[in-house]
Amino acid sequence: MNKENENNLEDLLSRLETIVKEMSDETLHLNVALEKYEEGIRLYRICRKILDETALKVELIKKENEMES
Amino acid sequence: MKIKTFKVSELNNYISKTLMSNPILHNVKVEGEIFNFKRTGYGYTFFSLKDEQSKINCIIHEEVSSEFKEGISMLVKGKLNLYEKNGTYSILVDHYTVIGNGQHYHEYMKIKEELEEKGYFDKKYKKPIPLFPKKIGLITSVSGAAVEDVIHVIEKRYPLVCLSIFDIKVQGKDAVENMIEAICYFNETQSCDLIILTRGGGSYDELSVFNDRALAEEIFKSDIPIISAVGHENDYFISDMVADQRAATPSAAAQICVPDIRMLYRQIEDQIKDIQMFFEEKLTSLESDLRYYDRFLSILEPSVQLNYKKHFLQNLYKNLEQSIKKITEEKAKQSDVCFIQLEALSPVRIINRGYASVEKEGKILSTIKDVDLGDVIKTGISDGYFTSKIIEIYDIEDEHV
Repeated sequence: MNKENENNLEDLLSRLETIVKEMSDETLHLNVALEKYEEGIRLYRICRKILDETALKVELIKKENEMES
Repeated sequence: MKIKTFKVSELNNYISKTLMSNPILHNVKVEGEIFNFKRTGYGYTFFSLKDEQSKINCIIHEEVSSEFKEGISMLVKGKLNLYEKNGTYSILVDHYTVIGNGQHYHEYMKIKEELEEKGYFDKKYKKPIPLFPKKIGLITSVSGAAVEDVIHVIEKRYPLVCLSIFDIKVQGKDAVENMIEAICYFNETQSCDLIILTRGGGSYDELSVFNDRALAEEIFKSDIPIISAVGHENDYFISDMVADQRAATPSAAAQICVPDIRMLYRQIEDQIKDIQMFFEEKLTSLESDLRYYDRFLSILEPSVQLNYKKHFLQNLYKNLEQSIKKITEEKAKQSDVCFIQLEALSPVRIINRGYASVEKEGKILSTIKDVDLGDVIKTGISDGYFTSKIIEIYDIEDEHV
C-alpha cells in the first residue's frame, strides 16, 4: 500500500488500465484472472482515495479563496 | 564790410553753387578704404571712404559689383555735391576702381586666419546651448535697440527665465574692454547658464569691435555657452565665429536661446495625451489577458480535472467488474458443459441400462486374457455386487478357449 501511495495517480490509473485490458482476454486462466482482479480492485481503491482526498483539498482551497475575496 | 545774414537754406545753396563751380571739386579723384557700405532698394549705394584721420561720404547712382565690400581700398572719381536739406556733402561717384584689400580688412583676415588655425571656430569646441536656461546673462548696452528686442522676445517666449543685464559700451574704445569684463564677470560668479553678447545694426566701423582678438579669446575661454548676435543678417564678425552659436540679429538670439512656452505647453499636453492613451491601451490589454487567463483557469480547474479522472476510474472499475464477471461466467459455462459430457459418459448410466462391471482384485476387466479358470471375480450391477468363480472361458470368435 505504501508503495502505491508514493506513486502518482496517473501511474496507478495506467496500471489499472493495463489490468483491465489484460482481463478482456477470455482465455485467461481463472486463477490468473482472480489475481488480476484482486490487484485491480486494490488499485481502484487507492485511486479512489487519492481522488477523494484531492477533491476535499480543492474544496478547501476554493472556500479559502471565496472568504478572502 | 557788412556781413550779410544768410538763412540756412540760402547758405547751403551758396555753398552748393560754390562747390559746383570749383573745377577741382567738380572732378575729384580720391583714394580710401570703404566702410559703412549700404545698398538701398532703389539703386543707390551709400558708403564712406576713410584714411587714418578722416572720412568722406560717397554716393553711387547705380548697383555696384560684388567686389565692392567693407574694408577694401578704392579709387573713386566724381564731383562734390551738397545735400542742401541736411547741409551735408558727399562725392557723387561716376567711376570707381578697386585697389585692393584695405588695412581693416587685412587685419580682420589676419586675426581670422590665426584663430582658425588655433581651432577657435572648431565645432568640437562649441558648447551646447541649454534647452531650458534658468538665467541668461545679457551683455549689451541698455540704451541700445537690441536690449528691448531681446527682452521683448524672451518675455513673450519664455517668461520663466531670469535675465541679468550687464550694461556695456558696444562701440568705441572701451567696448572691447567692457565686453571682456562682462564675460569674466558671468564666468567668475557663475550667475547664468547662457550668455548673449549682442548689439543692433551699425556702421562697419562701429561694429568692428566684435572682430577684436582679445574678445575672441575671452569668448573661447568662457565656460558658459555664448550666443553672439551682432548687427543685421549680413553682418558676420569674428565674435560670431568663435561663439558657441551665432544669431543673425538680437531678436534671433532671443529666439534661439529660449524655447517657446506655448509650444512647450502644447508638447506637454500632447505627451500627457500619449501617456494616457498608452495606459488606457495597456490597461485594456491587461484586462483582456486577465479574462483569458480566468477562462483558462476555469477550464483547468482541479475539480474539472478530478471529475474527469473519477469518470475514467469508474469506467476502469466497471470494465474490471465486467471482465471478472465474464471470465467466471465463461468458466462456469465450460464446467457445466464438461459436467454434462461427464454425466453422459458415466458408467453408472450404462449399468443402469442392464450392463455390469466386472473386476478382479479391484481391477476392471476388459479382456479374457486377464482371467483364468477358477478366478474369483466381482460383478457390479445397478443395485449391488456379487462374486462368482470362472468355470468356463470363451473368446469372441471361438466361443470356447
